[in-house]
Order: sequence, then structure tokens, then C-alpha cells
Amino acid sequence: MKKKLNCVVLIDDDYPTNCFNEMVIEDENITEKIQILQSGREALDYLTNQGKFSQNGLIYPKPELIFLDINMPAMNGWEFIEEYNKLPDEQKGKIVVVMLTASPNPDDLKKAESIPQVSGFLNKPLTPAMVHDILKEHFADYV
Amino acid sequence: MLTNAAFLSEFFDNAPLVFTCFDEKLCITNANKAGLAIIKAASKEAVIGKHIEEISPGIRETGRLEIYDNVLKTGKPVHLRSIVTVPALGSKHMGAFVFRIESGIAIIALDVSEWVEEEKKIIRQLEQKNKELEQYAYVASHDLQEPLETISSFVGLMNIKYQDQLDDRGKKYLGFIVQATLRMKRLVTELLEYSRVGKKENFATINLNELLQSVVTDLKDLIEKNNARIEYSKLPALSANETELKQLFQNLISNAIKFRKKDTSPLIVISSEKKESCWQFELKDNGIGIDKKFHERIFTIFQRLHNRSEYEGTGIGLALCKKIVEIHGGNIWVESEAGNGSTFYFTIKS
Repeated sequence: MKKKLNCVVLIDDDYPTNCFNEMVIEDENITEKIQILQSGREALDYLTNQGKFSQNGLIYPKPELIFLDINMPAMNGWEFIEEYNKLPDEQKGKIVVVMLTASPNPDDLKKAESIPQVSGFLNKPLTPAMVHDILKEHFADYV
Repeated sequence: MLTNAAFLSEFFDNAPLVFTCFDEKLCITNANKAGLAIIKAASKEAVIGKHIEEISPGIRETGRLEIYDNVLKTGKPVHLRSIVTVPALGSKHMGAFVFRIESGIAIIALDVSEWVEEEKKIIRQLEQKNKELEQYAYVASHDLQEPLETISSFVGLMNIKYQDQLDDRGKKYLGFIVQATLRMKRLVTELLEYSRVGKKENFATINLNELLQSVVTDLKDLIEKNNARIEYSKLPALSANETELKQLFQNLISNAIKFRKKDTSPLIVISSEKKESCWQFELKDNGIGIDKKFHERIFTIFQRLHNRSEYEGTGIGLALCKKIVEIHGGNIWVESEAGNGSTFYFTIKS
């Protein structure tokens, strides 16, 4: 039997979207843990064990897979990536996937392609097939 | 090789620009070929010594005489653009420089009619494009309302009549749909409001003290619920669109209450100050404040700084305020730092 991922992170300011994505991933049974984060700031705190995650000590969560929404208040997805890139390697996750709205702005597509830290981009809503494609591409020996 | 004087004289005469000179009484002392053509004079000799009003009848009514007098008195050159009716050429747009010379004034003028036409064409195109855009936003948000009403009413029915028949997941899904439908309704309504602003230019003299009183009455529930205090001294009366100005104050005041500090009762102080060509208003609150890096972003449509779980909102409110203020020939900006209250400023042309 192949192994499961340890942790998948969902970053989106919209609570129903997070719940929807959580359900899709849960149903595929590919990960031990799904962490929902409602803003870029909260996500940075989670990755670095700061703020309300400071009790997590020195072992960083290092999620294997991060789903990132672009259109968020205060710190949008692009601004999150900028901050994320400044993190030391031991705090970074493995794969970042950018989630775009159903009819993506071509500029957003281009931007997603031009940032090396972005492993891919998907159009909302997330589907089981998308989850499996990501696993196949980036985590061949898992699940 | 021509002498300097002969060269200048030839240059003066043949330049395709209107050159004319007048003495201190505004009688013509010199004109080049283009200048003579524009006043339809057969020769220099035929016009020299004539007063400017004799050469250009009706010039007094255009206000240009006063400008020339001013150049004579102050010695300060002016650049002007005026429509000159020339019997020979019809109505022409002329761009001109008028400047002081020892014997009086000199005028250099150029026919800019073509440029003006070009400009007019571009302005017309811009106006057309703007109108299309406004119409588009209006129609889009208006037409979205109908299917949205259908979704909203049937989801409401499901929520009331069939909730018992759903399991927990089903109830949760339905809850999301209800919430999202409400949000979309609010978005569409506010988008409609946004696209409507500036459509009617009915400006009237408005007593701001009365206007603010009615805003406070409208917001009574919100004010009482938050134990908020709104203070304002004597405000001016000014010419504006009443509905829009009311909306502006309403948005700014309800924002100040919405973004209050949890443990401090909101206090909003409104004051005004007369500036050179406008009234400047100030709304100072004791709320949560805004980090400097967001001071411009908050006025962009759909830009929000908080999660909906913290503060409800569509991100249209301040963009609407900006649009209203700009229609009234003014500006809007904020001075604030995180944690220390905000002061919103806006100006209205007087």
C-alpha cells in the first residue's frame, strides 16, 4: 500500500469554498490532515508557527500541497507568494497550486505561469480528477 | 548673404504664422503676410495706424481686449486660445502668444482648427465609450437580478419546507447556498447603485446640517446598537446632488461604526473647512484604523481588507464614495494608522 500525504493546506478567504475543497479532498482519502486557513497572513503564521500557531513549537508543518486562492482581502495570493518565497526552506511546503476563478483573467494565467514557485494552476471548483492529476504529477509514490 | 535686419524682415513676412504688432493704444504698427490675410487687408499701408477694434470688430465682446491691456500693463506674456471669425476664412480656432515689446504688444498666432477638431473627435469617442461602459454595468447588474430572485426565493422555500428532510451535510450545503445568494443579492444591488451614480446631474443647494440629521435618523438602529456618538458643528450649505451626498455621508459613517474597536464606543467627529475653491470635510473616528499600505487600495472597487467572517461587506462602499466625490469635482483620501482611528477627508467644489 502506498503512503498518504501528511498535510494539505487550503488558503481561501471564502469559508464555503474551503469546506467544498475539504470535502472533495476528504472523499479521496489522500492525506492525514487538511488545514484550512482563511487569509494569507494566517497561512504564513501557520507555516512559520507564529501568531495563533506559536504553540506548535519548532517543528514546522511543511505541508506537501498548498491550494492557494488569488482574490483575497488585505494580502492576495500573489502577495502571499512574495512573502512565502522569503521563508527559509525548512518552513516552505512542497507544491503550491494556484486556484483561479471559473473564467480566469488571462493576466492571472500568465502570472501563474511566470512564477517558478507555482507548480500549477487550476480553475475552480476543485474536482476529484484534479486531485488525482496533481498526485500523479508530483507525488507518484503516494496513494 | 542678407543682412541681419533684411533676414529678419524676410522671415517675419513669409512665416506661415500670424505676426502682428500694436502700440500702447492698441493701434496696429506692423503685420506680416499671414497677418494681413487674416484681417483681409490689401496691404500694410491700408491698415497701419488703425485701432484694433476697427480691424477686428467685436473683439471687445470676446474679452481679448482686456487681456491685451493686461499684457501692456504687467508685461506678463499670455497664451490664449480663441475662436476668431475671419470674413475670408470663416470661424477659426487660433492659438496665440501675446507678449510685451518696447513699442506695445506683439501677437503670434497659429490656426489650430484642425487640432481642435481632432480633439473634439477624441472627446466624443471617449464620452461614447464611457456611456457604453456605464450602460453595460447597469444592464449586467439589472439583468442578474431576475435569475437571482428566482434562486433566492426557491432556496428560501427549501430552507423552510424541506430542512427536516436533509441530513447534516445537506443542511450545511443549503446554508452555504442561502448565504451566497444573500451575498450576491447585496453585490448586485450595490453594483447597480455604483453604476447609477452620476447618471442624473440634478444639483441643488443643500443644507448639510439637515442632510446629516436625516442620515443620523436613517442609521438610528446601527448607532444605538453600537452606542455610537456622532458630533458635528455648523456645516455649510452647498450645491450638490442630495441623494449622492447623503449616500456618501451614510457610507463613511456606517464604515466608521462597522470598523470600531471592540472595547471603545464609536465617536465620529465631522467638521468642514472652507478652502480656496472647495469645501473640505473631515470625518474623524476612533476605530481600528488602517495600515498605511492600504490607504489607496481601499478606494478601489471590490478591494477588501478583512475576511467576511470578521466584517461583512462587498468592497463597493468606498469606491462609491470616491465616484460621488469625483462627480462633485473633489477628492477623497484617508489619514490613519493601524490601531489609531481613521480620518477621512473629502472635498466638494464650491
